[in-house]
Amino acid sequence: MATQSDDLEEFRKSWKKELENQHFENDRNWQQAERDSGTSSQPTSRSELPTKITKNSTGLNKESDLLTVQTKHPAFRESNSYTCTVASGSCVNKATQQYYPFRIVGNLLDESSPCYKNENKKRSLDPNFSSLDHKKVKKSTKFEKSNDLKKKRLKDIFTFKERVNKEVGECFLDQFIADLYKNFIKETVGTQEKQDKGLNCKVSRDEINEIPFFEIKLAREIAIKIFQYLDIRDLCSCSQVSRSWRSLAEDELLWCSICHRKGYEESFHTVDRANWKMIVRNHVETKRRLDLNWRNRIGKVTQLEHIQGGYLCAVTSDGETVVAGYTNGQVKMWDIEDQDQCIFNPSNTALIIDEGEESGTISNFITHIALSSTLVAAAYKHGNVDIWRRLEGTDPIQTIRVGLNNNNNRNNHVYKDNKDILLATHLEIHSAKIYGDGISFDPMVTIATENAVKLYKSDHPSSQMIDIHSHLVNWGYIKIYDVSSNKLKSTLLGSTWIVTCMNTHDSPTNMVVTGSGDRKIRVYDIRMNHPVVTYAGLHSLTSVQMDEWKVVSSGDDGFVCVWDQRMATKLWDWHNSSPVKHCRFSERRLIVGNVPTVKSQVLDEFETHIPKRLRGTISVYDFTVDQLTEGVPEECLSTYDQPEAYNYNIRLAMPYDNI
Amino acid sequence: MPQIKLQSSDGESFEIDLEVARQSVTIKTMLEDLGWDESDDDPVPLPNVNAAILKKVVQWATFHKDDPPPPEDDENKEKRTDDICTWDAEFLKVDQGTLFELILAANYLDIKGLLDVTCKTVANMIKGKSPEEIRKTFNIKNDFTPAEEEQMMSCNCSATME
Repeated sequence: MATQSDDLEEFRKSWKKELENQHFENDRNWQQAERDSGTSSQPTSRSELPTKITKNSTGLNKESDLLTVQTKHPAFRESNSYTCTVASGSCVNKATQQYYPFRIVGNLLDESSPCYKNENKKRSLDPNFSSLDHKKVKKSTKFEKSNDLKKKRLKDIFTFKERVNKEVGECFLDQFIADLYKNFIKETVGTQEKQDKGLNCKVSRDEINEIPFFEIKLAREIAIKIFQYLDIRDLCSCSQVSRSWRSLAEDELLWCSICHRKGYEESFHTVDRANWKMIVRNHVETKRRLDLNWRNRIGKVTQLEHIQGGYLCAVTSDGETVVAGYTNGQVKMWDIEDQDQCIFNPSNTALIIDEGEESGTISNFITHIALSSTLVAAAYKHGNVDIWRRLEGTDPIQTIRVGLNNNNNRNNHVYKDNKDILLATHLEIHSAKIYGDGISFDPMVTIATENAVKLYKSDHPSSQMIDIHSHLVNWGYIKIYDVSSNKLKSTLLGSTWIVTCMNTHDSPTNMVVTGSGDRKIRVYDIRMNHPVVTYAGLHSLTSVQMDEWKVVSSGDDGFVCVWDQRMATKLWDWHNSSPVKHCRFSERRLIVGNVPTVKSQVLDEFETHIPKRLRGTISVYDFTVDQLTEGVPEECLSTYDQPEAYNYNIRLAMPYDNI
Repeated sequence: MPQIKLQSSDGESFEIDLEVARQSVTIKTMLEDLGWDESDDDPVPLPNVNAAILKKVVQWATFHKDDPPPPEDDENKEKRTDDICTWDAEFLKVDQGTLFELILAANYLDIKGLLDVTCKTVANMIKGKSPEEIRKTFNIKNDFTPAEEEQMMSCNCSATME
């Protein structure tokens, strides 16, 4: 012990000299020293820890005892003895070489938590601080693993350091002790992880590799794992928390994956791909603009070119493609985005003789039509179902004969599912549909017949059948079945008449929108039995569709209505001359098919002046902004939220307006 | 069932089933590389995990030992944070320090399931909070200058994004 104290005395002297001679020079040296001290203070082996900590605690304890009687030198001595224990431990060389200049300590203090400074201000004003601190330091020296205690100790050490700094002035060794102590605590809290991973506690202002969470700094890649669970709004909040959080929340990787997830990138080929956040922002802004246009009915209506020699019979569409079947058996397909179109030919153009029919023949017009990502299918009145490939050929690849002998099959309904198109008979009952609930995305066919709902596995369309329901389907109820267990999950109540239309797959999760014969549109949350919102609709609804904020309904009376989903108010409606049999919106446009009720078979191919009312129309309501604002003077583009005057219809681009 | 000894950073040994330990890819590859067999009695040192955390990790791994391997991350799928099972939720009702140490341990030991669930828990702590609330929750100092704050307010991205 004697040699140790001699060493110490020497060390203390050299340090003092150092402090006197050297004042704030050469920052690089400091950083070097800091790095060295950071690594050197890490114990080489775990078994040394207990001995160290006991020495440490006694040192601090005595020191604070002595400090309470306001003496400087004993503090020095005691702290020296502590330094000695460390120096004689694993890191003796570095400790003596670097002398632990106090500016390191200052540096470290800068990075300490905010609570430290505030508390210290308080402390320095408090006349009783020394006794308080004394107690706290005593407490802090107990070695326990509890995190709370650790935190507390850390704080106490900070306050202790600060006080020493202010009161004792040159007592830098105390700071050194505190610093070592802090380092030690840091290690026990878990910084070893980073150091082992080669992410030493480098303090670089430019590139932020460690993100603070509470007391712990996480390596960037781990922090990103957390952030990838956040959505856009949360990321934006995070970017305002602090510099390091901002650098993380604006990480390209996160925004890139958001782009992919939302399917944004395809439409932005020309934009600089490096800035993914900007791409997301552009999309969000476009989306908002579209919503505004939807709300205010700002759009351009175009009508798709009619086929020669046939009346419209059936229309369906997905986001970009529209297919329509005509009385002459032809099917026309439009790609709206690419302004492309083609006509598919039917397999059978001849009239079919049927004894049962009054007129003796059954015309070959199309009753139903369906569209999937690869196929188009049409069901004919005479019982055939033709299937075409969307991209190759105009002749059907397959024809399914359903047969005429059974009256029940007269009304064919083509359903589509995710992968393929299959066929099901669909009779009077509309009220039963299946809600998949995300359990199975296997191609599945649902068949609703007079008194049963049947599920077909599409892999074995003829053989495999699950009969999930064999009771009479009650009007006005919507029953939800669990597809995997064939059990009734719940029944949605509220409708007082037949449910005429329903949409689940376009709706947000857990939402169902229905239109019923009692002229009401109902929005259900399937976790509840009763409708969330009910709209006073119009009679004979033919289709409903909803998204996050709006519901679009259409009816046999020719009206298409757009509703605010939450407020249950009608935003606008649009009248068409013939019944709306198909109505579907995508983000950008609304596609409406007006199918005339009278389907006359005989048509002169060269007759060009058929009234629209008879012929049927397909309208596309485009809500994209760019087309509208093109060439329109700036002053005509005022927004509708100006309170001065009601400037509805000021946009000259609206074709239905006559100002 | 073969057993394996794990030694925490502070010297405590844990004897656990090999199957449980194999959930950690780090341990699994370590054993494969070392050609470990049942006769070996030497403990596997885990210098980055202390006893308290290792105990928690073992507890988690024991409960989840029969789980199917977690599915590969699908980039295009919305990341959900509400699918934490009740046992995990209860298990992760710990103070923040422990939670983050668990993240570090799961990352070091390469246990995907535990890392996912702990990250989800932290993400849930962030969700729906204002920047000020986040700062409070994680005890983070606001180191923006007033000018920067001003700039952020003027082009408030959360306002434009939603």
